[in-house]
Amino acid sequence: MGTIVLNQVRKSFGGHEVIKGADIRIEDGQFAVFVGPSGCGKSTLLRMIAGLEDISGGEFLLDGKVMNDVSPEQRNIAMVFQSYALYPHMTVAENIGFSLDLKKTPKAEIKRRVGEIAERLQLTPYLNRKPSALSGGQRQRVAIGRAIIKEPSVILFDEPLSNLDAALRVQMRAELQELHRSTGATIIYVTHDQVEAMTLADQIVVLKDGQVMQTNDPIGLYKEPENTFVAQFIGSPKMNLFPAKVESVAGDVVRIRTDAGWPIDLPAIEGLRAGPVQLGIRPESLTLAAPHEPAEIETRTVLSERLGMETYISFETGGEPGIARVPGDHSLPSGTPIRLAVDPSACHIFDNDGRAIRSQSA
Amino acid sequence: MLVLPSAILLFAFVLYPSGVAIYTSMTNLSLTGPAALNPRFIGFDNYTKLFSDHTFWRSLVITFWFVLFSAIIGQLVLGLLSAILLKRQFALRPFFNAIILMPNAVPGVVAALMWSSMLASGEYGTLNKIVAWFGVDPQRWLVTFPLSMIIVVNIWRGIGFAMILMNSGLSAISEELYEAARMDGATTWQAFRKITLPLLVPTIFLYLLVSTVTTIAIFALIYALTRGGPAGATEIVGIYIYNQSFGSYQLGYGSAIAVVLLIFSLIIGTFYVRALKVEV
Repeated sequence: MGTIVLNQVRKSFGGHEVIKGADIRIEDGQFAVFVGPSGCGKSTLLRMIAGLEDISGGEFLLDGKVMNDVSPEQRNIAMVFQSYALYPHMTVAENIGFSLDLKKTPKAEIKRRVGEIAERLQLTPYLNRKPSALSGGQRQRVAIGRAIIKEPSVILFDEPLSNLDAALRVQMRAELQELHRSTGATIIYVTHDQVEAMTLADQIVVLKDGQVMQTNDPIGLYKEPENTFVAQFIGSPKMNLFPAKVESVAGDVVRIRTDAGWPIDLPAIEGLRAGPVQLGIRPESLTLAAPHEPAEIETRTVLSERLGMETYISFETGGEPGIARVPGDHSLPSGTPIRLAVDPSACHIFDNDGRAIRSQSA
Repeated sequence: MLVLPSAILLFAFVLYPSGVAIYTSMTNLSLTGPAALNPRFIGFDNYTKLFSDHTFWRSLVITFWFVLFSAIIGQLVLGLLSAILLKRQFALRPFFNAIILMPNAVPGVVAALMWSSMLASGEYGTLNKIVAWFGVDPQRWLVTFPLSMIIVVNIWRGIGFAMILMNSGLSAISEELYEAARMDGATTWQAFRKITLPLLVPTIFLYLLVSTVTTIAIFALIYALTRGGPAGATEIVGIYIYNQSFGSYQLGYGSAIAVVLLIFSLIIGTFYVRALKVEV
């Protein structure tokens, strides 16, 4: 079992508060990802769950039991460190079996269990090697082996893929999902990489400046961001935000006009009053309009980045930068006039404090 | 060409004097009498004499205990302990750091003079005044416990160096390893024994190499404190060489002892370097 509940958890380092009252609930067996920019407190939060940092305020419960003052080794939680933290003077087998050795488990039993873990992680040929003689991916697996041999109810990962090259990351992501499936443990995974977060998580916790901005499943976060921070953090390239005004609310249609002057009609939004708002449009909700087709935005390209299967078109409208992500390859030199059509059902409206006003998308 | 300056210096200050010492050790050169003017080549006579010289063997044994207890055990253990304790942040840390490092900065003779006053006999000796608070009668420290006292003095002098080296060794061990060990359930003692010590082995050997060789060669500190006495109780080999060469005026014989000592140091040094498996 590994249900984790954080109630108003706080952390201060010498008067400076880095975690400002986090409320998080992670169900048993879930794969949860803490994501956020550098310095948002995600690693600190993870280390508090591990027991490596004291909890300054609030409660951390594991399966209903308060764990604030329980020492790390008694929490039944394992952790994989960013730099793997393998013991350099021990062999792979000794690294994996270290926790059992400390508990004075019989040698034969340690050997058997290390063997099983090594088999599972394809480390058997390397059991007698030192970590320095392993590749990055193999070291990563040893670190994982060291964590799962304890049969923990919760496994914590602190940016585990950040030291690996791109190809290996994709492979390790798949292996982590398999690991999650086979162990059934609750996993909390810290990353600043939103692709890792989106592909791995059952539940994503977005953090900023020590506060939880939003908790949801990956697609929920993408489709219904509660604020401009989450809206821009999830999705790549990030969501365009244009200052705009609600011009009129007439029946089922709301007319919004951006400060750049172009109008857009959206389906009615409950509670929306006339006044200034921010209009959020994901780059992939913008399409290049053919000359005879209607288009909301008429502007010129600033830069186009051709990726082959798609093209990122940067533009400017009313002094605000924007970007469109359109399918196919388009050669658009800087300054080319373009017309962009907006998918009204995929627009997001935020108030001036950045809070979503009931997102439009389903 | 680039190594020429250091080659010249090495030749002038190491190789040439060693050569002279080795040659001298095969003569009957003396500071007085006919051999002072016309030293004779006597081959290995000095060395044969050396092997039946009980005082020489005794001084070797004293040197062994002196090195073992002051450098290898005392300085190393206390240096490591201080390095571990002073790794933590606390208010008086720089103060303690300075106190431990200070003895290293004091010249050997000055240190010896300070300790002479500390260990002086009679009721005015500093240590005697201190023990008097506990009702202990004044002791003649350098007469009753001569070897123990010079060991204590040398430990006091050497902890700082040991601490610096151990400190650098400790700071090379990543904090994450200790966190990983905590997550694995290691107690502080287990983490020390299974993580710190094994990872500190290269530093410890490096320390042993340097401190053994320098401690064998210690002279000023002991000469100024005891001159090797009483009755030869603190006559380590360095002192014995001096006493033979400049006390008994037998330069040839003194050189022979020095050459033997050099060979011992080389053997010990080679052993440590092998154990270190690094190029020194």
